Amino acid sequence: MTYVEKNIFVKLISLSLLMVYFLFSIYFMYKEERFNVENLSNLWVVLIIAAVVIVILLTVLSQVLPVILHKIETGKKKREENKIEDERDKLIDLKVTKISYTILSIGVFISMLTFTLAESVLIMFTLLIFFGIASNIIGDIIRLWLYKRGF
Amino acid sequence: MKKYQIKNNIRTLRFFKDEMSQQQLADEVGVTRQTIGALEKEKYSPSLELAFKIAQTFDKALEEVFLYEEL
Repeated sequence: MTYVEKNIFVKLISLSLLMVYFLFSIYFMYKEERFNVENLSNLWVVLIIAAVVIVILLTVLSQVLPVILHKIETGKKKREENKIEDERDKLIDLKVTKISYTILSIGVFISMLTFTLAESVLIMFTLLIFFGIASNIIGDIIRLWLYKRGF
Repeated sequence: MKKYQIKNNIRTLRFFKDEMSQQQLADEVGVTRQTIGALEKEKYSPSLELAFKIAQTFDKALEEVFLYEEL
């Protein structure tokens, strides 16, 4: 797995964990009748902090730990991986950004539609968070696919 | 409508240039080794600038390295 693919994979795992946590939290909030503005804004804060912590932890696990282990095992410094970004990376990035923003735009539209029809701020904010994370997850899956398959 | 594909001889040209590695060619033209790999597998069509750089590296004309063929 290349350096770029490793990075995407780490981001994908982080976002998937966040999505699972978010969906479970919403489910239990709804079940225990704690689905209100205060709890939802608390969840929003927790999600942002969790995102930072998970990304740092997974980056350490995937990037730093293998280098340390390699040094301990062989006593040699691991060969520096190529970290430059070339035209293919930029093109993939452009395609993924376009798809992610399209999904996010549809999500925002659906959220606003829910707000207009159901007049519920809670559902609107829940959908906004959901589509925010979902657009990133789908974007990263497509990015990984483009790197593997080519285009 | 006819469909066309960009093909290339990079793999062969590398072999005849003292078995140049993908990494060496990548460093020469300023891209990643993965991009050279994708080019050789014809999974990626390069920009005009990159195509010229690759052709220059092998001292060949563009059409000797890249071919525009019907599928």
